[in-house]
Amino acid sequence: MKRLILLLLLPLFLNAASVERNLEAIFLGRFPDFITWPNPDKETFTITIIDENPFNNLLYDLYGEKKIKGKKVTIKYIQYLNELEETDILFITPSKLKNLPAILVHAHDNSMLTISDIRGFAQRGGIIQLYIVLQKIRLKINHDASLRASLKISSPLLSISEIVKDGDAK
Amino acid sequence: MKLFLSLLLLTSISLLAENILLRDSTKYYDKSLEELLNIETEVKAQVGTRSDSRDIEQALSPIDVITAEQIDQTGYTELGKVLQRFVPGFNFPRASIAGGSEHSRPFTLRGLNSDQVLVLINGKRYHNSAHLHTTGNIGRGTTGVDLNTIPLRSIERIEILRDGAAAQYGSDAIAGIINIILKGYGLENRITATFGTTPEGDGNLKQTDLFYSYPLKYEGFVNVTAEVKDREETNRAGLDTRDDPNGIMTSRDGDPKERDYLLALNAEIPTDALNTYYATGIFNYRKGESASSFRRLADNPVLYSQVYPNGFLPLITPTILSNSITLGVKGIVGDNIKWDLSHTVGYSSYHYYVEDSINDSMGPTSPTSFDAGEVQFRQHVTSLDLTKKYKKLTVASGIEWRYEDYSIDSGEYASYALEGPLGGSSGSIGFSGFNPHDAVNANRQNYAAYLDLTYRYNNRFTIGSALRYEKYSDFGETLNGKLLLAYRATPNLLFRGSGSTGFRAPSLSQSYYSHTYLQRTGPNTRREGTLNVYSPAAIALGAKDLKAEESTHATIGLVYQPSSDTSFTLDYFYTKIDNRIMLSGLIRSSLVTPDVQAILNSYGVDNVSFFTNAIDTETNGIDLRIKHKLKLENGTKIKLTAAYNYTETTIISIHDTLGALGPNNDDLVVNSYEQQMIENGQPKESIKLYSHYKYRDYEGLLNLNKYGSFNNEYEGIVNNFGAMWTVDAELSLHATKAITFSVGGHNILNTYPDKWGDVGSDVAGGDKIIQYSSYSPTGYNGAFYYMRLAITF
Repeated sequence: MKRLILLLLLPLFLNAASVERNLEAIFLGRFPDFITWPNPDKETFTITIIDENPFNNLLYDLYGEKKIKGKKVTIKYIQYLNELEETDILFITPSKLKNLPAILVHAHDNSMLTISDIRGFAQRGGIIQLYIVLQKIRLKINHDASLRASLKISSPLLSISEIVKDGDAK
Repeated sequence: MKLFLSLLLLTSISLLAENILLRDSTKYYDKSLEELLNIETEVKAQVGTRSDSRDIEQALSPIDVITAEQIDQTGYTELGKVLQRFVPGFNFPRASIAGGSEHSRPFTLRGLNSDQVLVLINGKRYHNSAHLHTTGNIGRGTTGVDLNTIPLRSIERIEILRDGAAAQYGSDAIAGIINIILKGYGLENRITATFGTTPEGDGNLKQTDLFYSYPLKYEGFVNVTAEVKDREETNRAGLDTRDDPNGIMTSRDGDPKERDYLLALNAEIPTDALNTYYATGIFNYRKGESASSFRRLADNPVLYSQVYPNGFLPLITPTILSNSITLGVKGIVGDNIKWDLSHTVGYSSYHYYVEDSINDSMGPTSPTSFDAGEVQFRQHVTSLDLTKKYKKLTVASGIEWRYEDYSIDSGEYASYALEGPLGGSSGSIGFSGFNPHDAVNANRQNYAAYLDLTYRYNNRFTIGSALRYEKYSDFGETLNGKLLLAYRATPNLLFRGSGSTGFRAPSLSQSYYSHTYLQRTGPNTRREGTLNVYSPAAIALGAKDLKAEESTHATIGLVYQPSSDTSFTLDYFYTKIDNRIMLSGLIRSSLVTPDVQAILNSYGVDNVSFFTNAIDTETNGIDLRIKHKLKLENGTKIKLTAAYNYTETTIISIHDTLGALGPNNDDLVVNSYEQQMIENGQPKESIKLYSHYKYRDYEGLLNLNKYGSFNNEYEGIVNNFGAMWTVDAELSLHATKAITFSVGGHNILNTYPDKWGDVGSDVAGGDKIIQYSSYSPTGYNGAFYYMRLAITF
């Protein structure tokens, strides 16, 4: 009987996390398959979220037991640029729009893959931008920015993304 | 022991749930990047919150969202019909012989009138129509937004907030808010053409539109949508046996004939300095033709035998214009404070023309076509909104200035003249022109300030509050508040509730509308019709300056979302409205006491009505939504939705009539016809069951709709019209990536509503001229079949 009650109640406790956040979190772990960093010998793979954490525990749930690029994953949350340490991926939330130029310069000087859903992120110098059209996620990549960060992006990722340059007219 | 077992059970469930939670969050992980980019995310909505847009299943208030894809799949070319398809409790009757209202049809939401619903375009207030509905149909006495002025293909999504929100957005947001989000960045250009007809071969529709998007830097865009729509009339009138026992077709009862030209502009221009300039424009020009009642030779044999020996059917042929332009700029200042400054100009004009008519008093030399005057409404809204997020607290505040202007211009002289020694009515038959006595130009302005707080205490509790102060130059001040609370009992079970106060400012048209004509009987000439509230005769009869309608709201509900593919929402709502403004029934000298007759005589009026704060009502009901999507093994994607609404409105108080009429004449002001229309004139129950199927290059739709029963009174006899089911279906083939061909139908089983019973009339009845009730939520055209071709480029 208890088992039956348990089964009946179980759906009440299933997760209903946003699909959009789920997909963004998955992209953070999938993009590295198509990126070559200049210093591949680090022991861990680090993802840093700057400012507000939109993912709650999602990144821990996804990558706590998984490996990215064959490495154990470390997730860091920071508020300000001066807290930023060595990281492979830097996810920048929209609230950091005003500080974006400084963040990007610092990140790319240190070969960080910058990812964000900030409007115009790729044309403002970010590397990978996620945006939504008709409920589906789309990608924009600023290839010049990735070269400035000494990152090499492989063609499978480029082929499904829109390629833009700094300050493109469109 | 029981407590221990309970705790053990809960702990076990939580641990199991954690595992399943992890499995759920990783279910997309093994998909390819292409597959990930093909996964549909949740629908988001901006309305109802001043913080960021959020998934509708996470919203503090109940919200429905209709997407562009869903709009396309309806086969409709009218926004009102689209809303009726998807939102149970949204009513959009197709009144006929309605004095011009056929061309600017009113809607209702959860039993309340269209002027009790705030309509926004990209979050900015859209203007009401200039046309005031005065005939005895649903929406009588209101001027709401004409939804069909907005081209459908310009819309990315429609958000419907099912909660009172005047404390957040100001006047009119009593039954809810309809926020129309125009298409933004990243969409394909498209040309669409639609052709349709009824089984009777009438109501032919030809429609074509173009959506063109020009992308700009930083996901900026300039989008233009242009549409031309041509619809022929339908006619479901019965044969007229009054003058010929075999019956002849004399009348027209159905949809009007219309041609629309629509244009929409939506542009956002982000700058390097992090500001975004934006512009929105909606333009509609409509030319219509609808019929009035047939005039028989016997009505005026001496005159008509010379001009219309077979009688005549006067036509109302209005020209309707609606424009709206918003210019604004938004950005970020200081410590991440978002700001948005905008100005919106809205304009609506309704120019009445009458054809195939006559002015009886002018005799056989009367013209047969008339310019019957024009009503116009202008609105300017300037607003500044600021939003700042302090960790868990989002603070929004803003100020708004609004200016409104309403005018009535009289028609040409012949449209309202009363000439010659002959008795009868002044003006053109079918629609008497506005006369210099009616002409008016009135305006007002108001200032508003609001504060809106949302505090997310933790992952479980969110609390929201809003306070809004407004000062109107005509009726004074109002302060309204709202409190919202959401409690997430489990990760996918949300309880939500809200309580608020609200208001609706009397519209300028309700305060200043006047449409009168002269009636001569022997030596006596009387002015009849709708009187301006401020006219001496109306004041003598008890009319007062109109006050705002005041509302109190409560909602409580839950959202249960066991997975991202399934959701269940249930909400109870309650709305009490005090001082509802109504157009009174006709005050006739034959029905009133001698002292009131004396007043009517002294002002030379009879058979008059005027607007008054007449009643208090309570509206309550429930809304249920169940959504599920699944993918079959053969790759077929299926989306299923069941939606239910029950709404009941009750008049809880009829105000004592002030002034000369006195309390004994209350039933003249709010007569049984009005009471029947408010309480029982619309279906209380509505069910929508819709399903969408996608398999390879094919898409299919099958929708079932139930409209509950309703009452309509005719000359004191109440007729009940039974509930009705309709079926809609569509099949689409994506012939290539760019070309889609669709065929479909509305009400494909060609179901008709009940006909009138015996109401003792030689005009209305099951075998008479007017066979169907104009209250019918589905209209009475029967089926409509269409085909559509869409080409993207």
